[in-house]
Amino acid sequence: MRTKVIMSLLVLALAGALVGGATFAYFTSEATNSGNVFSTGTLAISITDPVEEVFNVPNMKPGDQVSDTITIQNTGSLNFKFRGEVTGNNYLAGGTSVVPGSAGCLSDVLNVVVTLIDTNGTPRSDVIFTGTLSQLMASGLPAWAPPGVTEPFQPDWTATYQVDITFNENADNDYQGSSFENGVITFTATQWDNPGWTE
Amino acid sequence: MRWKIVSSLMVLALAAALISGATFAWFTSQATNANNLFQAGTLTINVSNPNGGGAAFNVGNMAPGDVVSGTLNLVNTGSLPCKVRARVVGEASGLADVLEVNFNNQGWQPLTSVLNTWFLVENGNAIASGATVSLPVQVRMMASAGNEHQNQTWSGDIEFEAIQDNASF
Repeated sequence: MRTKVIMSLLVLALAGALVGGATFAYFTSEATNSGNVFSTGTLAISITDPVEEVFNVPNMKPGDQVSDTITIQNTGSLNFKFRGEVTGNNYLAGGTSVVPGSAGCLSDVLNVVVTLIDTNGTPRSDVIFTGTLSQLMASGLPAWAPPGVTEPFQPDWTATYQVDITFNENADNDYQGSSFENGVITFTATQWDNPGWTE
Repeated sequence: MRWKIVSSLMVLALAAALISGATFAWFTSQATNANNLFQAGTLTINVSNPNGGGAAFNVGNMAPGDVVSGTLNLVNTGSLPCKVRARVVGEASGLADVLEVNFNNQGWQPLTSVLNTWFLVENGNAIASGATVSLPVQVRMMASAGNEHQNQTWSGDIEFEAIQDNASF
């Protein structure tokens, strides 16, 4: 008997709750935060100077040195890091293609020094590569961040590199008339927090 | 049962790794500077005898007091300017004892005193690519040569050596 009473009360309470659900009203208020936008940034690296090729050096002889600069800019809206890469083809005097390590391969006897001389208008002198052009082609250029720098390369920033190239004085007659042609310098940037890419 | 769960989890993890490997992408950008060129020049010389034939001189039947003249044309056939030196090489005895040479109008000297001695062509100045230098050479047999030099023969070479103009011999 006692159980029955409890059951009935429960049923009543349930019914009451249902009825109340239909008629209950509370004060409410709404506030809207509108205009939320997600848009992607741009990641863009440019070589701002020079527009034409950096080097066009005919008729070199052992001991000759040439220097020029190349300027990179972050023309996107995102922080990035970047690195450089050099490709090209070596030919003997007669036009025969030749690979590094072979006699007469000009890129083996072109000594390269790359120095970061300016970032964002601030002079500096960080030597970031020393070796032959062949070695540079094999290893690539660890451009940004240079050793000791932990900050990303930010939008609008510029970096200027000086490239000094010397024709090794010990190059012998095997190198007469040889050439390094179609040299391409490529800078590749990726977002600063890309973990799959370490510099 | 426990092992089955573990391997199922591993398979799932693997699948997830494969999917992420295939779908990872990060923004990248490239800038290139093309058409760079380095070209080594050539350094070559050619010496010719404008009268034809290989040797500047081929003189038979000489007698004391005879003088013969010839000219060598030195051409810079390379693309680089160069400096050139030359010397006469040959045996320093026999007929050489009574021959005198006037190389490039530098004056008469006993052949034996100039043998194997380099002298600078154009005073060691650079010879431009494509340029020709004419080198007059005279040889005479001393009038004082005695009968012991009858029917003797001397032969020799004139050697030329070129280097790039910013180097030293």
